[in-house]
Amino acid sequence: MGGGSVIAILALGVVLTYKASGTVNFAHAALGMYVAFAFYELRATGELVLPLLGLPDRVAIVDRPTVFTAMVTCLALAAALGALIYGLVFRPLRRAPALARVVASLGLLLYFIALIDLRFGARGATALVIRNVLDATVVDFAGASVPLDRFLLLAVALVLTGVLWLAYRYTRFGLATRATAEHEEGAIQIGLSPDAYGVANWALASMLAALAIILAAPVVRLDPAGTSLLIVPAVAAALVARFNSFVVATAVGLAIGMAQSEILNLQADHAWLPEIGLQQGVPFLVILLTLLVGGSRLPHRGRPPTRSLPESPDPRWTGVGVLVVGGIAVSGLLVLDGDWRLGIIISTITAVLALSVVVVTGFVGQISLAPYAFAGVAAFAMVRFANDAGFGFPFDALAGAAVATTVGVLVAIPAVRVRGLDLAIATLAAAVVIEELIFKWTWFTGGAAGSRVPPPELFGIDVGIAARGTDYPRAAFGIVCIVVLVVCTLAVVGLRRGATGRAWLAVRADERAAAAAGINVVGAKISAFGVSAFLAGIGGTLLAYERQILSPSSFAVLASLTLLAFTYLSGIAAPAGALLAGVLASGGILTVALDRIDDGASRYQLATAGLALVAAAVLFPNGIVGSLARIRRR
Amino acid sequence: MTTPLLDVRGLTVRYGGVVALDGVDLEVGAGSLVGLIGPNGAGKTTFIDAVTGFARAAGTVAFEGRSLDTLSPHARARAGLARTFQGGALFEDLSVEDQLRVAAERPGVRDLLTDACKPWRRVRRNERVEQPLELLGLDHCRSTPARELPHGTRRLVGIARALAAAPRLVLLDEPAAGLDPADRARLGDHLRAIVAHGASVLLVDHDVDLVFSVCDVVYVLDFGAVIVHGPPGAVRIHPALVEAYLGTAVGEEP
Repeated sequence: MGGGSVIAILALGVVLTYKASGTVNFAHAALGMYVAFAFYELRATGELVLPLLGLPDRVAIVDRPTVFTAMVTCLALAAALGALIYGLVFRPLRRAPALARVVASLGLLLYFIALIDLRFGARGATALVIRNVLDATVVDFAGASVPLDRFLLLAVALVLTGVLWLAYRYTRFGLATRATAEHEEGAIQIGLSPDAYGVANWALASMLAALAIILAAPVVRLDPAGTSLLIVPAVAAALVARFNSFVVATAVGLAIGMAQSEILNLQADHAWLPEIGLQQGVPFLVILLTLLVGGSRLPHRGRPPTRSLPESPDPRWTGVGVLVVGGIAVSGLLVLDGDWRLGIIISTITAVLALSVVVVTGFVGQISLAPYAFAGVAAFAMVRFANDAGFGFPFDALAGAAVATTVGVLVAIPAVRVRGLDLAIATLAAAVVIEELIFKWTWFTGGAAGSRVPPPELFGIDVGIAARGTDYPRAAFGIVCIVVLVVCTLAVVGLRRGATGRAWLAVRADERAAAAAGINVVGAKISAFGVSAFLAGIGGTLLAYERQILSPSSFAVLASLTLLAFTYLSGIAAPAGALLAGVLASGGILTVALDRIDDGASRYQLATAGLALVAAAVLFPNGIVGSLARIRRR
Repeated sequence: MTTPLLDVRGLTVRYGGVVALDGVDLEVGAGSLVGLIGPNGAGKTTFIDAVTGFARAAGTVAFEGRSLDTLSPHARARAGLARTFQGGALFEDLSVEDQLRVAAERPGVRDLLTDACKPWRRVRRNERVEQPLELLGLDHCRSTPARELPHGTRRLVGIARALAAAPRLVLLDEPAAGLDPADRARLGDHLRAIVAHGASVLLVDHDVDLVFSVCDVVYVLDFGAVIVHGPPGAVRIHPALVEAYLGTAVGEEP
């Protein structure tokens, strides 16, 4: 019940921001998470942790703040952040394609997570003293002992829903927000300011997010990534509410929470139920079906996007470029020390994964938030092929990638019925389902102990990352990765320059016109999902060899979001962008270089990347590679 | 009597409670240039949408004697039915030549595999692309991205893209809209050249003079129904046409 109330309050905020600006803010829960950290730190130390890099880490407010002082301070902070984010990011992006808005909110999500890591270090929430804000006396309810705060939280959720429902139905504020959401120009004509209503709604929504997570922190575990991903069930609830009805959003949010705890009870009572992640998976299976059977759930807004998608320059020289880069990387592997070698290997593997994003999101414009899910499917399947069926390298990896391709196509067949933000949400739900239902399936994954990955052997030579008596990581494994990356890049360049790539770009530009030109639009999207899942699968198998022991945590949803973020920043519609994304990725070449320049400098990498991503979405949607290509053309 | 190339019978489109097309019958003979005119909101674009599969419609559409009713838009395009869109609907990122290639190539799964193996492929000359470029005089801008083209050229590129699919019939949705008089006159010549090359044309336009001067047969649509059709000379002076465009006929009190 506690979990359901949080999801409900978060869903209210998601609906609010959608009403005000047509944006699904994936950073909504992350903002609340940051403010909750700030709240408990303020209560304990009297210091407010500031959200911006460059400002002092923290400022002293009062010595011993009461709950009231801390709450007022933190809600004001949340409101200010919400207003700032709207003004600097989502107002400029209000006519941008869905991709730019998704990516900007992902940038903020990563920024808040990185910020908490910077400010609180590895200890995370254990650094905090979390004291109950609500009364947590245990009371007797229907024969069970339940802490009172669960009920209070529920009451807060219901009261907020009621207030919002009344405000939007009967006050001028609600009516005006609805008017500006329906038709911005029309609203301006009759003297309403969309900006003022946007700021007000964003401030309000951010306060709700902060309140939800502050109040729920004693109930749900507070941790930067996990709490931020509460956005997934919240978006699910908002989706069923068509991003419009507060009452439905709350009801579905509560239902998701209850279904999750109920499934947990059922599993405890009935041993025959599979112990795989039904708890998280089932609600999302429902969401996926609602979306795919019911079609588009987002209400349409009276204005088309006017800004164009990232350009896709002809990658005429990328084929040559990747050979040169590959050559340099191989020489690097042969002469550099272990840190650098590992950085090169991580960058190479990430670049292969980023190529999968370039194909489906860059070339065909379909936002997929599930690349690591496909990568994981391939990795685990590969281990099964190798251990149970005796497949040798590279056939086990190819078979694994083929399984990923199949899963990718199976996800795509229903998913391509929807577009834009809907598709982003659908693939996010698919990623959660794969993570919870498939990766927690013990037979498939080898359970919590993980699966030991047999080292790859080529012509009888061990090309694994580690071997007795050699320095870790071995150059031989790095060379295998680089060869794979070069082959994959050349294939993607070939696709982009051939008939397939032209058809893909045509579908991205205008689906109706593409169909009129004889292109099978659904077929083109499914083929792109298939190619993308294959590339992700290849990347996943390399990642498996690099990890040596597989665990589902290597393929979590957050990794997919980060990958999309880095690829967009680098240039999502160009194969060269994928290479750059590999270099920039955390743990890759840039991380090693930063740490060489100044030990610990790479700590700021993720936070900076998050901000750079937001800036990229607002200021230069073509990404680094696309912008360079543009400059060269002039 | 020979079967017409396009034979539309009782085509009806409803949007909610509004009847946008009401039992339209229309024929396009092989090698002919047929005009479709009518005031704003008469249902001209809806007609093209319904014939090409973009709008759900009742009635039958037969093409070369074969029913298209169950086919999706891209399958109808592959059957030889090409169309243009009012706004042009160009693929903004692609060059003029690549736009035409999209329509000419229609890659399948096998192309996916061969493309992936050829990162350094030389782009081969494709006659289906060259012909429309030459016919419409677009050779000079073949490598310009669509978003940088001037308005008049965009219209022509839209037509050229439809021709690159080597269609038997092209449905043109207001190709003359926004063109200056010189471009309009040239458009008339282009349309005749297209028909001379073997394709038939259904021309939807507001420029009544253009339609009457180039078409063999003209249909007039008003409130979703055909009110008169026949050779331009007869339709031009038909009272129903005047009434559709000017309201009640001259001399009658409203």
